Amino acid sequence: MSRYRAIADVVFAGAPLGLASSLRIRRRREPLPSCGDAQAFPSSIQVGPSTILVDLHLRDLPAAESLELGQVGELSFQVISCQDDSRRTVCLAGAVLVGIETLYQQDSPATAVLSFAAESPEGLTDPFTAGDQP
Amino acid sequence: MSQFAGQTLFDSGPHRFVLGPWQRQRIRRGFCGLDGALVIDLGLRGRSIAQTGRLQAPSAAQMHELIAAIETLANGQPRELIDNHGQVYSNVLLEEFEPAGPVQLGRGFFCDYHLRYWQLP
Repeated sequence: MSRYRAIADVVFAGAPLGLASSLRIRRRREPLPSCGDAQAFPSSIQVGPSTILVDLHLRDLPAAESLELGQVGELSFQVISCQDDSRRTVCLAGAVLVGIETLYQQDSPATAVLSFAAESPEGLTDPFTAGDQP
Repeated sequence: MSQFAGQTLFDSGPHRFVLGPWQRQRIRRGFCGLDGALVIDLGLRGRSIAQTGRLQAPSAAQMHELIAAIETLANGQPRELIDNHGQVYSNVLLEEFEPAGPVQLGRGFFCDYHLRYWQLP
């Protein structure tokens, strides 16, 4: 079981983004089903292009609000293991900032959600990489 | 498993057939002061059969070979068509093969298509 105690060193396009509370990464290829005559179930499921979407929840609002929609850069972060403080680095090359959502609340910390979609320069290289470090 | 001209070119993916109605050609003539019309029946002309489906191949080259093989059958020669239920249709011309979009890369290469036959009486 992977359990992490902290998210550290969140950087987008060279700019550090502090106080990250969570990151959700969704990798998806839309199913394209097709049926033949009298088939109750699709006999072909092809898949559309890969999409990689990231939602970053953080409390560093000044940093979030200084970004511009459409900005492109590398998004990287590390998670630190609860067990042995080892680090896992996740990197998304070609991350495009597609959404900035901020929430100001009374008597609660303000939060921001940054949404990213990843592009691949030539359409073949997977922009997502992740690896463990001792 | 369907066949056209004894070949199973469409079995790489699912496909469906839709039968059109038999069509007769007629001439209608009306005359002043007479109710109704004179109808001259020129005979049975044929019916269209539509096929839609998906072609699949492991490589782009094999996909283009498959498409070329299908297009070769659109040569004006009447052939026998057997649908997915084993129903046989004779004197069928392959009139038109039209890809519904580009050849795409999914789990392999695939291309959805529309195809139109004309069956002679």
